[in-house]
Amino acid sequence: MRLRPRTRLAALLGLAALAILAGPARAAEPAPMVEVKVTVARLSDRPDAIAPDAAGLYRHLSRDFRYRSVEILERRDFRLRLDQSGSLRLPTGRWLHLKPKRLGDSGVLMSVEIEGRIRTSLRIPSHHEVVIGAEPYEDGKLVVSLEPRF
Amino acid sequence: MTACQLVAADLEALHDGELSRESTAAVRHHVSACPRCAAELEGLDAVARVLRERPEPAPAPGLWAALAPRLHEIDASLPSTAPVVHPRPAALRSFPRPPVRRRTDAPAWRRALPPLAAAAGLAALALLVFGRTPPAQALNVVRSLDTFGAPVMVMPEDANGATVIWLLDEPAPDEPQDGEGGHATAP
Repeated sequence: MRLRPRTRLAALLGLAALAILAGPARAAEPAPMVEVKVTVARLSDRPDAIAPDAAGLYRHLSRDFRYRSVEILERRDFRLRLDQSGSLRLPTGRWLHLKPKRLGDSGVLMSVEIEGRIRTSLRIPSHHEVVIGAEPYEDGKLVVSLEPRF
Repeated sequence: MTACQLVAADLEALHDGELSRESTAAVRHHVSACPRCAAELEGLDAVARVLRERPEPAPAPGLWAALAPRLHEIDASLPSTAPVVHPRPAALRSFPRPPVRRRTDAPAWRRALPPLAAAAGLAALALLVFGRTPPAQALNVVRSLDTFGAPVMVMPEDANGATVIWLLDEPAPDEPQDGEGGHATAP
């Protein structure tokens, strides 16, 4: 079958348009990831100095609480897709569960649970820190800090 | 999974205006027929209203009076900032000073470079400092909270950009009722 030049040109243009439209649809967008920096610390009245890597946490808490010692017990960086859970066993034996559920202009909507202590839904902007004074631990208090980045 | 459970995750997004038009219509349709979800949505609105109407925290009345004398002390303890002038060595005094190239000799674009670079640096610094997090007043981090009956304090974001959720330990019946053994101070 021989096509007239004008018809052939129209067919080529149509194919090109289809290719342009189909291109972005075919290239699947990467699923959004949320990095969550989790810090577990113990606050107490021990005469220890504030650990240098705990200075930021101490700054957040010193306004309202008078603990003299902050000791970092564990740090963990999670990389989670939406609706993917991350879990961490706390020194008290309880589990911490995190699950980013939705990303929006005002931050990531994330469900956070420390089994038997707290179940909460938080909308956290990137780089904003949430500090949870969770439960008594040894001679002080166990604190969990969360900082999502996306 | 019930319809309420399916819609529950979308109520927050509906409240924040993040749903598509179709999803908004679907969720609103469910909410209009479900008193439980309607109450949940109303609760979110109520929390947002309370936080919006929260008065701006004012500094303590005696703060400046306490701070001012300390500023004077610090100022007095700092070394003088007067420029140090180094005399020319005696052996060089008989030689004429080399000609100094005036700034006006440079082309205009070159003279404009330092202030432009400084402005760009300031803009980058401002972006770094203020661009990372939205203003504190706009934050409403805690959307729902269940502490299994334990008393809790929520301290909205402080000047350092952190939200604190503090579970208070239930004192034993024979302990004094001052909370946290005297560690916590009411916000």
